[in-house]
Amino acid sequence: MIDGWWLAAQILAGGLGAVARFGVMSIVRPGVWSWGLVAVNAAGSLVVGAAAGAFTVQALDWTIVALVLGFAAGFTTFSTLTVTAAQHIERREIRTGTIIVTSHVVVGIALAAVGYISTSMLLGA
Amino acid sequence: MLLSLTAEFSDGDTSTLTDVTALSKSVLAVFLGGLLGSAARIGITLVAGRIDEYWWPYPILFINLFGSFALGFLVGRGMGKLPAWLQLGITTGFLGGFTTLSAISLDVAVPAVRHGIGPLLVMGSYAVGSIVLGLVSAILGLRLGSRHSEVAP
Repeated sequence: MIDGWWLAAQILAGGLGAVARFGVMSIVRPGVWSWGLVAVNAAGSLVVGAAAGAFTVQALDWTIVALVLGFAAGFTTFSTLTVTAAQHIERREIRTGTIIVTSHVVVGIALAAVGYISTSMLLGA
Repeated sequence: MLLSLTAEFSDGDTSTLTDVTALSKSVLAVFLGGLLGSAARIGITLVAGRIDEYWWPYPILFINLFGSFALGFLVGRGMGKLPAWLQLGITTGFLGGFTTLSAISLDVAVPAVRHGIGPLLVMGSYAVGSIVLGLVSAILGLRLGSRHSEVAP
């Protein structure tokens, strides 16, 4: 299953994901709360959940799912999130920093579950 | 800042041209950085091999912790001496593409939906671990980076 073309396509999808994130985050100007980053991480999590759900009911081919996962992995990001939060914590805004990271992770998990349940129910038999 | 050029695209003055060049350089750098970051992430997960479905996916954890530390270090140290496109290629491109949130979301959500509370608790501890250790890594990176700051304190 792991052949060269499949790997190359997944890596390429990750590169495109990074460019898409750059686009979204350049358009959505950061305020106190980085809404661009919220949108990116939320959308990426919803999409991987939906792809995995479609895969479990055999509505989507594994190669397509792999490309979606590759794109979303490059699209979403963790390091920007933790460093933004860490800067708040270093300014003694411990609550803000903790809330930023936790909300992204909790929203991401919830949206992945919503995506997974939606497609596996809607597309399943 | 970079995208403001769309409004003045028809002006045809040289500053717009410079903006277009700067934008295309940045996009290319982010793309190449994202490719390398994705390749590194996928490479690490392949080398690590198969992970138990209901336990912490430590390759992704390692990737996210290393990425958080590295970005913290670079932000703390400052990258003013590097051209803007290279800064973007390294941070937004490489480290942004290397680290991931969607993998955490999926690895926690799917076992919970399929198998209920037990896997949710195990994978929930992985999510909490990622948050706490990710913050610690980023803070360590920021502090170590500012100690080696290119700007004199």
